[in-house]
Formats: sequence, structure tokens, C-alpha cells
Amino acid sequence: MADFSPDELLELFQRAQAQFTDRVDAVAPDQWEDEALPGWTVADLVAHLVSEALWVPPLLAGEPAAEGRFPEGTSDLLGDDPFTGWETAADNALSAFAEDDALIRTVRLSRGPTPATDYIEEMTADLVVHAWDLARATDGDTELDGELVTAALVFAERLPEDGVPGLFDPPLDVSLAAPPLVRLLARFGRKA
Amino acid sequence: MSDALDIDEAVFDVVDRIPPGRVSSYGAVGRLIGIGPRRVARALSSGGGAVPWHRVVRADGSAADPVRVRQLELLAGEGVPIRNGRVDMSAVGWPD
Repeated sequence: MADFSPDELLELFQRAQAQFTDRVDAVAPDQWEDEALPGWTVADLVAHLVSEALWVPPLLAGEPAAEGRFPEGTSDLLGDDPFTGWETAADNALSAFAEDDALIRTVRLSRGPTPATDYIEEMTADLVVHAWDLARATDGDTELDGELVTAALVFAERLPEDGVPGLFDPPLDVSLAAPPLVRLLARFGRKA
Repeated sequence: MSDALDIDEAVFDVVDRIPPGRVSSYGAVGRLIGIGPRRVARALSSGGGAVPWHRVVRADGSAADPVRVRQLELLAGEGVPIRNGRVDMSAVGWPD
């Protein structure tokens, strides 16, 4: 099983964020209410990622995941300008993960205490898959960074079967010989 | 003067205040003037030559690819601590 140093994990996370940011930047003004996933608009999807990013600093500071800390509504999460809302939350999350000992900490997720390395791996896989969701929903660039896809597949295969975070469907059957992006998407219930 | 040039000028004014040996991030500079990190990066890459553009890096202390080698050289020359290609932002981050 491939192992990644804390510096490598941080770099992969930064690149996964940048890849998602590129696709948020490409959303046209009239696409925000389009459907991205069943029951989710493009705005809802980006707001979900904003919420995930907002949680990074408090969770890395040892605070428990508790409801009510951040707004839950899409328009509150995105603010006046969704791109700036995303960028700001993402930047603060990156700063928090870059703190000296951040990746040797334990975070208190709702499913229980979790090593920060598992947390950043999940967040990275999440960003990669949702970058594809966003691109597909907005006729954007569904070609993803191959190294990120390969790493996200490694991370995804470490996730417990029932521990996949929200907005994902049950895994689909896929050939081990399929390309990494097809396997990654299948792991999260998506057909390329 | 257009709004876009006003924003560029505001970025240059902030970056000009970063002292030698200190380093800020695109996001931190943006927060001081109410814009996002990418807008800061765009201002600096299009016309930041007259200000110390090299004192601005990503939030994780890493340098953007096109300028990475030169930027880290310039920062090392100012005594900025760099480890595994990343600036130690907790040591030299600006503003405090």
C-alpha cells in the first residue's frame, strides 16, 4: 500500500483544492441552479465543499464536530460571491493543515477520533471526486490531474465501506483493469 | 483608472509593506483589501515586478510552479526558513 509523507499529503491536498477552485472559477453565472447531483444544485455542491473546508481549522484545533457552528444553508455558506466564499474557506483550511504538527494530530469527527492523515486523505479524495461532479454538471473540464486521481484512488480504497462521507452513492462494480479515474468514480458510485 | 487597476494597485501597496525576511500568503494579502487569493496572484503575476512579489506564497508556504525556484532562492537570500520547499509560515508569516 502506497504511503505518503506529511509533505506529500499536504501537497496533494493543495493541488486537489486548486483543481476544484479552477472548476468553481469556470462556473457561468446562469449555472448555479443547475442540477449537479440528484437533489443538489451546483451551488449546493460548492456550499458542501465550503462547509467541509470551514470545519478544518476547528477540527484540527481539537474541537468536536458539533452542529450549529457554521451556517448550513447554501446561500449563507456561499455569501454574495460563491467563488470568493469557496476560495476564502479553502485558503484557511490549507493554512490549518500546513501548521507544523497538524498531520500528527487526532481530529474528533462525528464517527470518532481519527488521525489527521486519514482526515486529509478523505478531504483530498472528496475534492477530486467533487471536481469531476462539478465539471460534469457545468460542461467544464472533466480531465483531472492524473497523479491526484491515482492518489485519491489509494485514499478511497482505504476508506471503510460504510464510512464514505456524504453525497456519495454505494460503490459500483468495476474492473481492476479500468483506468484510475473510472475506478475512483466507481468507488463513489459514479459512472464515468 | 479602471476598477481592475485600482485593485492591482491596492495589492502592490500591501505587498510593498512586507519587510525583508517576512512572508505573506495570497489569501492574507487579499484579506487586507477584501479580495480572494487568486485575484492577488493575478495582480502580482501581471505587474508585480516593482514590488517584492517573492514575499507572497500559498497558504501552505509553497511557491507557485512557474516561479518556484527563483522565488525560493530570493527568500533564502533574505534568511527565510524553508523546509522541503515550503516556507515556515509560523516563523515568518506577515502580518502577525
